[in-house]
Amino acid sequence: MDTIVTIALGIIAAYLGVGLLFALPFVFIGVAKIDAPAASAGFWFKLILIPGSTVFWPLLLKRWLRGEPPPVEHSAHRTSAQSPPHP
Amino acid sequence: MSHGYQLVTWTPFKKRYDQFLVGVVVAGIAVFGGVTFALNPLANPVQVLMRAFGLVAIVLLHVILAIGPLARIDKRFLPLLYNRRHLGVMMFALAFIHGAIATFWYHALGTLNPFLSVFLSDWGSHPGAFPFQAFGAVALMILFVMAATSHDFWLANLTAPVWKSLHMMVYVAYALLVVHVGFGVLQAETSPVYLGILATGVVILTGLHLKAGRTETAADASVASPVESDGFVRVASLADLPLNEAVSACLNGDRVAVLRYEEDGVEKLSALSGICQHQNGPLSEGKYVKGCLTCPWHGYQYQPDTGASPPPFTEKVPTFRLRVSDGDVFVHPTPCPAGTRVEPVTLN
Ligand code: HEM
Ligand code: FES
Repeated sequence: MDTIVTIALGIIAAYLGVGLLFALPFVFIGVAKIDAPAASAGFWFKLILIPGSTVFWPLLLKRWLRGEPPPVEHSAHRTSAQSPPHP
Repeated sequence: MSHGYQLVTWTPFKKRYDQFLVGVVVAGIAVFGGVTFALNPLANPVQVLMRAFGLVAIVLLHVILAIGPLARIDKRFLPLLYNRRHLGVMMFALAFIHGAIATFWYHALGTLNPFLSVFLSDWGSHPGAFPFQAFGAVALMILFVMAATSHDFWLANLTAPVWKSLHMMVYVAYALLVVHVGFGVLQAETSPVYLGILATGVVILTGLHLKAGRTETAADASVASPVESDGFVRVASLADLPLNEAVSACLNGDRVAVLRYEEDGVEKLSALSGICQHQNGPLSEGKYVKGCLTCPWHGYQYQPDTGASPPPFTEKVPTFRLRVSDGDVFVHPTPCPAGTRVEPVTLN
């Protein structure tokens, strides 16, 4: 038990540690490149993105490197949409 | 709508809501502290404070979980729903303080790393030993991820379905916490009153969710109709459609908003996807305001014929073809791509 818990907590700590190192440059520089409305947002807004960026850093890093905007989600209607037939 | 983020989009209502919330929390902690010291003047103040924060947090969690089904059962509860994320962040903060005090108080004095100790204590062989603190800690991690992603930025960047699944984890956290609190209370209390209150909370929440689920299923089932030869499906009779207020029908796996509205003195009929692009809110329960169907949750607007938000906004939802014959409204269940203009049916 002890070893499992020690290893699991170690992995979580390492993951979040890298995340925190990523989050600081991301919220002040990177976020503006992947999310247009965030570019003009204020300091406090950027600050509250730090915890979430620490958790979701692999996803955000990938978007930052590729310059990808936020995706449009899939709903049942979006997925099944078809251009209407031309009468 | 998605133009520029703010830390919090304050409104007078949200301010009052938050002031009330802080008042209730402070009062809750004070009452618990007062009663505990009155009953037991020798109680350890640190432990009392820790218990008070934990208790207020779990009560708040019950309120949060009750709001969703209550709003579905009765629309008068909707205003509580709009600002629920402040409740959530507040609940996380209280639970965090409780967990932090417990970690320092019970685990920081030994030689073992305190975080390891939270997970490893209580596995012992003595009767009644149960690793209840590990349950609390895992729940706290889930609540942390939810609080950290509560801003709309995360909704847009993770997409609503992912965000929603993430926030459904609150039920996992709740289950873990029922175990944590059940065993946690036993540490300090021998009276069954606490456990009784906890069980009552679980029963009420389960009942509310079952009732809301049944209301919803009944609403969705009420519109199943045979398919016409041209593939259209009857969704309503024209006489039943109120003016300038959408009616919900279930087609192709999701809700469709059918709207009879008056534009430039002409009555028209349009159908568009009933799921708001913002937070999947119930657009099909919206009203027609100033040329747009307006989502009841946060007021995102969509033009009925195109499903697009008026410029400069860029949100779009799928639209549906429709026709009227013999006083009945028929909608084709295959959606047109988001933002496709569909000629509205003109009524006289
Ligand atoms: C790292 C995380 C956590 C730790 C280490 C922890 C630790 C503890 C401990 C040691 C107790 C027993 C208190 C006593 O001596 O009576 C307790 C009880 C309790 N905990 Fe936690 N907890 C954690 C997370 C949480 C969370 C997330 C919640 C709820 C939102 C919570 C709610 C409670 C409640 C309601 C009690 C019962 C209070 C009472 O004794 O009356 N805990 N916790
Ligand atoms: S869900 Fe927020 S406006 Fe529709």
